[in-house]
Amino acid sequence: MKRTVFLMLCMVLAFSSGVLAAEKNPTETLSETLGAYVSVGPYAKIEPQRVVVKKDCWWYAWTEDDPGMDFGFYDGKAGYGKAADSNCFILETNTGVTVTFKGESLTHTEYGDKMLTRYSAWLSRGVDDLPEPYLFVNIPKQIQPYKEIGFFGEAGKAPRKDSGGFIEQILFEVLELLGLGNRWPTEYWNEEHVAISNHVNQKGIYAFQVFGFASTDEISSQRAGTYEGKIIVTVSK
Amino acid sequence: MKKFAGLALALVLVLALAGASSAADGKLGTISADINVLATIGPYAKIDTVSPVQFGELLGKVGIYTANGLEEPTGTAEQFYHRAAPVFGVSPDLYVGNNDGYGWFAIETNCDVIVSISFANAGWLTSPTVFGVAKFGEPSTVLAWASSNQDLGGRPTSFTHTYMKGVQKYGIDGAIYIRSISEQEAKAYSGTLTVTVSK
Repeated sequence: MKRTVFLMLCMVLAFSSGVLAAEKNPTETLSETLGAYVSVGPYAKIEPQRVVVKKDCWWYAWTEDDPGMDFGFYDGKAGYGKAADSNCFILETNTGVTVTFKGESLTHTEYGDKMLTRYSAWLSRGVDDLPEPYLFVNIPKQIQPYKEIGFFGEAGKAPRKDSGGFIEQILFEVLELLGLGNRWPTEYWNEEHVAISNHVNQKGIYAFQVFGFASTDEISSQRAGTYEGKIIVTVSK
Repeated sequence: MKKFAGLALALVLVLALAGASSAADGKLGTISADINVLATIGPYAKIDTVSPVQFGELLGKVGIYTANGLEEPTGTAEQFYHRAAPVFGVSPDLYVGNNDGYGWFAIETNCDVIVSISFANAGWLTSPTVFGVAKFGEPSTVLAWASSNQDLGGRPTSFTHTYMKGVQKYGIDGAIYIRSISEQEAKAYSGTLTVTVSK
């Protein structure tokens, strides 16, 4: 039995030697190349991130908080507009991708009434590890708006700001004075809009910011209560 | 400059609260992540244009005088004295005359509210006077009453305005019962009706 196995092994070695292409005197150097093949599929990860300043003992520090966009409290006055920040999505990808932003309006959790809601997507300047704030000027790149992608949201009237909050009003007025255009959405939309970014052309880590604009319409246009909406970011090849 | 503006924008907007979210990673295809957006609207109401109740010039004769004119859907004015006479505890036959001078107010709310009415009678007649609030188009259903020198006998002075989209109008009819000629000196009188909206 052992003998049979040994003979078969010898035969296999003898036949297999024929497939080795290099064949020289073994005292000289032999070399041959052979291929190694692998394929990495397109892969990406996207996650929301919220960067905030928090007091850390005696100093303030940039830190992460639970993601979300909260417009806070409206007293119900007609035409009261506010702007809010999400503040970003972090995308890591190994290939160029298309990023699509879709937004659902703030909707009454019980009755379905809608507030006037729009969103605006921006490519951020980059992605930083969170630094310590020095006089609050070293702001992480992921929350620095860099290139505007566009407005998105459901069809209908644009949010109003005829009786909006002071800070938001000033902010957008300042931006307009700086020549950055009127950042408050104004157009009526007959259909839903999505914002599409084609800025991601190669592998890397990218950040996108989403700002929100929401207002009451008339007093009775939307009931008192809690409203929820959603921002959905889709990454596709 | 633009960079500065961007920094300012980021700085101002960075202070906000939290919500829920989801992340995703995967082979492309399509992957997605989302962020929840939140807001809360508090109860709010507005009392809009008001119009006074105008009784006009009363004859002075004993009897019931009204200021009404709120119309039924049929377009006919519903006479308020039919509803006022039982409050005064007298016969509707004492009706003397009417001035189509009903008052009205309009309210808009984003929730159910309680609407109350009261009458300050300083400078008003001593003759019993009643006012009834009714919704436009439904004058025969008095929702709330106010009075001067007249017990309302337990009749309501407030009602619940149920949330409706848009501005809602309510009318105010009035009736005065002059019990004797000398009860009222011949001159002009005025009082103040107060409409209060509360949650």
